Amino acid sequence: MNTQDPKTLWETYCTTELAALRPILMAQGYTLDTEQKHMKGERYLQQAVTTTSGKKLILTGVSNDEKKVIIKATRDRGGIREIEHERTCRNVLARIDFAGSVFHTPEEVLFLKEGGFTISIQRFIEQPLSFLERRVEEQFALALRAFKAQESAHATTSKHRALITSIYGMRNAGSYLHNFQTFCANITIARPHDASLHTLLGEALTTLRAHEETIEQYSGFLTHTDFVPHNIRIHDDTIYLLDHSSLTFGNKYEGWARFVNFMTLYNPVLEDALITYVRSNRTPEESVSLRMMRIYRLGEIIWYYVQTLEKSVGDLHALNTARVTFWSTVLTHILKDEKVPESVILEYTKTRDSLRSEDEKKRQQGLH
Amino acid sequence: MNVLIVTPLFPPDIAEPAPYGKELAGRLSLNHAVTVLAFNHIPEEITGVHIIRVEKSDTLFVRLFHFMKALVQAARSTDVIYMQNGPSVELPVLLFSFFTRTPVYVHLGDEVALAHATTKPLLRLLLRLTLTRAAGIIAHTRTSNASAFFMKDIPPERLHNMERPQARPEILPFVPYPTEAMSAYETSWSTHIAELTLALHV
Repeated sequence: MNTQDPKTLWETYCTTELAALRPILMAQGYTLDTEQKHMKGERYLQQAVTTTSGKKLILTGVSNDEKKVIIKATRDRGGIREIEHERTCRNVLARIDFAGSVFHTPEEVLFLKEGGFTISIQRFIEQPLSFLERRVEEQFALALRAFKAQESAHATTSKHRALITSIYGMRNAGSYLHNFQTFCANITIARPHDASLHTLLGEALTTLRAHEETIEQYSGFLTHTDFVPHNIRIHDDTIYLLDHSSLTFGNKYEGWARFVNFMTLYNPVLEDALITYVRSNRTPEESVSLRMMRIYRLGEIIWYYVQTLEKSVGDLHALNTARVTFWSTVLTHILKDEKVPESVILEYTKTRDSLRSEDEKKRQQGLH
Repeated sequence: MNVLIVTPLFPPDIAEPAPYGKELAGRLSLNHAVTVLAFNHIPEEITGVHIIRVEKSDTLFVRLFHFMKALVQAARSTDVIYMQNGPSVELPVLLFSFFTRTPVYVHLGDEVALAHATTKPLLRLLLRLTLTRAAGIIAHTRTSNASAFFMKDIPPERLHNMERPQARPEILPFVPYPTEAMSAYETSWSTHIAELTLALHV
């Protein structure tokens, strides 16, 4: 590898930033843990596609009074914007009049700007079991509670929109179609010879266009676009939201879609339960809306992994290629409104586990 | 009979009285010609019900103007107006009540709006005036303090107290189908429609 490859650049970035950050944190009474698993594995490839995102360190440590904390710190302009944006979202969320008892935020114990760094320190939330370690019935109940809480904030009047648009952003059917077209165009540029993928994405775009009104119909709701187990922690039946920067007002099934797509891979029983719940309790249009959002999010995840290909080599490159293939297969099935065969998931899981680095395996432990 | 349901909220809005309005329209439409006039962007459709929507994202003045205009047009072929409480519909309905003989019935169903009205003098006045002009008021037994606050001045002959129909029970995975709850829900709605039919003379 040369010194310009993304992994080496990330490692150099981490070493430099940690050296400058450690004394600042020490002066404030915080000690970093020796092992920082959130800097390892595939972390260097992670970059959100459609939300505010920059370079930042996510670190674990302890305060002088022996309390575990999570430290987010950066000197990167994009990263600073992200930390500040997340903080604003978090503070405004507490003021929005909706199901405040459902979502909780880990207490921010320090917010500091020093030595060019923007630092946000939050109390670490202990959880006896990770989300996926819980019984599926409990997972379902927690997820449904969280989705209902999000849906209960519906921005409809011009006054509502003026209040929230500048903070959370607002997505409507037009923005979803525009974003999806961008994913398609980017993928075409990055993989000009992958005709089958282009055809698949073309079909997905046509389907989204055909249901534009349904997408619009269920827009204007608060939704967390990255609502997945590693962005929440559960303690004493309370859901703590760890990432507030992915809150936006959009189609109410966008958060559902991200979660359901995630469960296609990690817990297909929960995936089924959530889809069945929508079918049994909500209008047929809402089931369509969920499926359209799943298609949209699959386009996004395919683009996400396509763009990682040029930044990865060896096993990780092979893994990311397998990910593009896997999520494309999932998209094929969702377009046909059918369940993803278990064999597809098993085969992919096997490939993934054989190609994942030891560091990444360590980073994944207890993550979901 | 031609029934016009006027409501500030309608699905995909979630908060009450949106789900109530949709359920009511669907059930009344089995025996009557039902039109719904609602503030909404793209309302959920109901087979056999005509829905007129007024865009909510316009400024206050513009949306009230459009709502008033739509109300005047819709009421031309209406025998009864059934209004859900809420300031955004109370003002146009109140103004319209001076120019029509079509009876207006007010349903005190939105507890949040009622609670709000008890604390804001202007909203309180608006609701009181609307109630004064109404042919009848539909209220619920076992109600909140806010609802009771407005009900206390209404002459008994214009007040129709009835049980609030139940919300549809959820069908959840991993648990048995809620047979009893579903049956109680159906019964509560049948009773509500029967009581409403008497109260509204439809």
